[in-house]
Amino acid sequence: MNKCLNKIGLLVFSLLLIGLLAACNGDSDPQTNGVDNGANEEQDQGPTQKIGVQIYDATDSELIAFRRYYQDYIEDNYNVEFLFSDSLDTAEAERTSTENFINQGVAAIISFSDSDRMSVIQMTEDAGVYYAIGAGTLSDEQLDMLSDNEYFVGSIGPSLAEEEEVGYDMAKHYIEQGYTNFLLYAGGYPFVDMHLMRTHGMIRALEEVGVTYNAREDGQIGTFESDEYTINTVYGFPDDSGAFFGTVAERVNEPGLEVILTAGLGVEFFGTALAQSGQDIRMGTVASFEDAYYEGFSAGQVDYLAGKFSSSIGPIFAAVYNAINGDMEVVRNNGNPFRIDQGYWIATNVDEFNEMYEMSNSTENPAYTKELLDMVIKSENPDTDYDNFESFVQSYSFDEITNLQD
Amino acid sequence: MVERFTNKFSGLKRITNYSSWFGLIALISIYYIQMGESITAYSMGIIIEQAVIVAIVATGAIFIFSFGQFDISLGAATAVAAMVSVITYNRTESIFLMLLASILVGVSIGVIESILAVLLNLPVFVLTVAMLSILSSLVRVLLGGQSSISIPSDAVAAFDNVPFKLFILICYFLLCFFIFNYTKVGRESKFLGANPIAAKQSGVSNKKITIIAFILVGIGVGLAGFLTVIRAPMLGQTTAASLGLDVLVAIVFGGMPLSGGARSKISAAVVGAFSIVLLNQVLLSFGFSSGQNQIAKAILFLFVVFVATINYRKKILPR
Amino acid sequence: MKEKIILEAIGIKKRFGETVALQGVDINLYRGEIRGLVGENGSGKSTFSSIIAGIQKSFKGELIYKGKPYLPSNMVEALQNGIGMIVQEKGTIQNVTVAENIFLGELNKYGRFGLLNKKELYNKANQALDNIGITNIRADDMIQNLNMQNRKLIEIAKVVFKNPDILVIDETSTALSYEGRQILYKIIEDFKSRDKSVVLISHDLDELIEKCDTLTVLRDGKLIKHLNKAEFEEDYIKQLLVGRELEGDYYRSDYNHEVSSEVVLKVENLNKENDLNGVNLDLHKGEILGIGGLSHCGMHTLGKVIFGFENAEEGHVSIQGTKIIDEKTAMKAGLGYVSKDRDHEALSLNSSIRENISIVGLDIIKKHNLIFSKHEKAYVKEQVDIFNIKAQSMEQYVSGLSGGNKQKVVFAKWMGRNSDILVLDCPTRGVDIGVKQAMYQLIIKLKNEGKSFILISEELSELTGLVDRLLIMKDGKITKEFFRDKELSESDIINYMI
Repeated sequence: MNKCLNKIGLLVFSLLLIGLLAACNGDSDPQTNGVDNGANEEQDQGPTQKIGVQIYDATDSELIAFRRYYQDYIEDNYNVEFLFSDSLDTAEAERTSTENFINQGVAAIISFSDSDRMSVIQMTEDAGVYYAIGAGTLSDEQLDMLSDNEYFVGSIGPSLAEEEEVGYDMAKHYIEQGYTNFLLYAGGYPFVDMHLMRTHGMIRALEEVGVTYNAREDGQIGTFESDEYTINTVYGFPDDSGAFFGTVAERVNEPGLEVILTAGLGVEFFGTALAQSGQDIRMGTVASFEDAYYEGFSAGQVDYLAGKFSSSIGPIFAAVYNAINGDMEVVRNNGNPFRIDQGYWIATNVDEFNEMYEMSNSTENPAYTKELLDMVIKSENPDTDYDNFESFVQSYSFDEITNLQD
Repeated sequence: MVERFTNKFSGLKRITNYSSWFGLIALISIYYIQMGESITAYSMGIIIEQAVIVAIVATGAIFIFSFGQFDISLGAATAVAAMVSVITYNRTESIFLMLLASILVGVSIGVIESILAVLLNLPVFVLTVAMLSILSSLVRVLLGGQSSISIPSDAVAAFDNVPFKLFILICYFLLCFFIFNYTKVGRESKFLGANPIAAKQSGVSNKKITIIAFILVGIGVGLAGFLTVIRAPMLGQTTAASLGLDVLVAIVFGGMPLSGGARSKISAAVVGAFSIVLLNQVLLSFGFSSGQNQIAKAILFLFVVFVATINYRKKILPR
Repeated sequence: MKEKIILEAIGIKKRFGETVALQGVDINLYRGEIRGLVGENGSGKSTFSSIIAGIQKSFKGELIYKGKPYLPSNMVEALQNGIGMIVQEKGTIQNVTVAENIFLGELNKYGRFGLLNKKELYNKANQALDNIGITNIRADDMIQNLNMQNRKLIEIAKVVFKNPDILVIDETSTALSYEGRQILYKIIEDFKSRDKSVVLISHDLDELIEKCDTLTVLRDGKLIKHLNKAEFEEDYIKQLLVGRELEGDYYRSDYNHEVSSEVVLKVENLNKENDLNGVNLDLHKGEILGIGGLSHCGMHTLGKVIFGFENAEEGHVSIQGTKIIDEKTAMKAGLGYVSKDRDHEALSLNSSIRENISIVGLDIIKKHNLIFSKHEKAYVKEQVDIFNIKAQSMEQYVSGLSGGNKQKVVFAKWMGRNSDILVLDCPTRGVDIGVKQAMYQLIIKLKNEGKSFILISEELSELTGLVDRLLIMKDGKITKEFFRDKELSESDIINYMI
């Protein structure tokens, strides 16, 4: 008898819970509608368009910053609603998220996830949903395959050449100052393309000053030879064993070390070891303008950062917005999907960093404000065209954007 | 006196036996109301797509659960089966061999696990904890230092459709349903879960049942591995990592008692798998973010387990 | 009566949900009285005793104890007031010492600053054990190392040590062994001699008739009759218990012990540490072979080894040349086993009657290796009908059945697959008299059809009433063989057991 009462209880509870969820939603609806209505008055447009955003890690600080920009700034200024995915760490999860977005009736997907991107692009084309790459780049071959895909908008992000250049510039910055003892962190070398390219850039800068690089046959990071320069390497990511941080601490504490160059994740992986070593060691890294680096710069741990800024994803939204408004032609590169390079902001001292940090993290006055984005959105600026858009995206540096704002 | 009481409620009891079905129907209704006209063939398709792998593994897992045991390594086993099938395809370019390899790997893992459990006389759960870690390492080994391995998506495109996946699920379900309900092994495994000592005194061999159950699950794991590759032909370290937990949750949602025994039913797996996918869709349709979504599901899960285990805390009446 | 009333119960009513457990029971208990409380399962005797011992609170009616209204809120309070109840062996707590069990809830008396004064505690506990003449258990023994009987003795020591005025002994399911009973009887007599009262609940009519001054018979929650010593007459009491006259014989009416010379089961030189010490026996076709002894004489282990549920270290069991190595070979050879621990070993309580009966009959039920509901139901229905199992349907869970009906399910399970030999270990434990009689008659009928039985029992009257031949075991050995005989007396047998 107990059993059947319990089962009834379970059933009732399930229904209640679902009802409750429905009720919660009912409460929250008027609010969001209220906001939307406000936007509608301004813009006098149809129903709110949904845009799905696929992210590889919901806890990543860079992606959290992106999300803030979209949900706290863009949603307030345009008649759109962003739906964010879970952390997509497998091709299967990426596919599930795509299916769910399509089923929820999104007009477009902006993706920061690349488990099996080509399959997702295929799915969106079949479903008639626009797809754009928010960060990252496509190979020539991939771009060729997508040339007649009407729903593939394009990609904005550092090209592989750009990544190589970032690594080169960073290494050169320190070499020119006369440093000779380096620790090089190669990240996911050779499997993570951007880490590979940045590392290659650093290697090129070192080779230019007479260092010999011996590549390894198995593709892993090789060794350096030089009379003048001392170069050690670390690569890979932490695993359950903790061995990674042991190696990091060992390398950081090697006598004479002057500079750490990382192809990514500087403060995250080297901050603790640096603080504990007590030595005067500089660090240059490719990362983003977020709190961890604010502290890194303040503490003098980091003095060179090539980083993404939160609203760097503004232009890709502008392109997608054009597409879902039916103004695809202004983002068509001779009828093909676009692929535009967008590099990093580079801070080489604490003052520069602080200025960039402030603008990057503002949701009231981000780098790409509505006024700026409207310049390349056809419904706001009927005169805009693709060339206009391309040069807009390419003017990504801090100075160029502040000039545009003025 | 108890008889009189039960009699009065027996009709109700019969109905509540199907409460997990009611749950599923309720979810379908809510989903229907929420989505309204935007329900399309596509919507139904993705529900099947998203449920089918969990449903298959859970169907097999019911056997292990039915005699009161617990396997948490099924996700990792599926990942290994999927990896081996990818490697097989890349060497042979044969879909058939790929499927065969996947099933062979699934069954082999099952046989090894069950024989170890029987020989060492260890609780299955303990063994599967160790297996989970071994299989996860194996995934890393099979990846060979790369972040992912894959087959060309064209290779399996012909199978990447709902009818094929549904067909596999139905075949496997029928096989398990049949064995569970119409053979000695199925009956004995339920009885074993209900009371292991009484089962032993009735000539039921724990060892035999364990081995057969693991072989059956192994077939399911093999099929799931194959379908995993079809669904997403690119596999990485985390492929199928959440499957083990999803299977567990599905089984509980489907109304399967965690202790196994007489009330074990094979349909719990499929009902549960579809319930979870639908619940997820319903929560999404209410605009829940993924975080809230997880929390809501976790609370519901805890509640289901809580209710299911109240039965163990029986009232003690004097005779 | 001129004796003084110590406890007066007036119109006690108690319900459990829909179930009426007691419907207006009046009982007066006198100082120096040993009162037997007797009734079949579900008659309300345990409910009544748990009310006076403070276990059950919400009831209707009035209790007057020592002239004042009395309503204990729990067992501890009842005990402080002088009413102590010996509950079943489940009362003890695992993983602690005997001493801690005896002084459970009062440990703070033996501690200072949170530290337990173990020495004092153990001394007191040993004293409590000595009081009732237990010397083989000591205060520092761990509970889990003790068997059921010894745990029960600890419960007894615990309650008696508080020197209550009324001692309630609920023996419903656990028959103490011979030694245990002797200890209990001494306590009862001691209480009586000190003008204290005892309420004894038991299934064993012989015991009640011998030990009690008065008997109260309950049936279906109603008071049937109070009996004085002069009215004690076994058949009459049985009739009151069942509510009708028991027709036909209770035990076997014949005293013929001739059986076939055909040996159907052979036990050769079984040895097992602590339990079996060179046991040999032959079971003949159509024979009821009784095995009696004190509860740890090894007879229960012998039953398990014969069925292959436990293994002996030496020696073997064979049926017509086939050695029994496990339950499967035993079953194949036509053996069935009814465990002493019905609820934990013989049945799966949370499975249906159908599942419990068919589990050993699947080989018979299956057609082309498949089991179809139709065939299974027909098979089970036949057994349910033959054994007259009272249930709403065969889908009812066994947990909802009475003890007698549960045991019928166990018998049905083995007879359904047409077992030739049954090992019965205490088959009528906790079974009502009416069902008991039916079981005995069934065993006799099956014997006449050529089935053979090994009947292991702690009830001597059951053994002398049924068996063709009786083997007495002591310390793992067979010490004596008796043949069926009208003149065979229980005292003769007991001499070989102790």
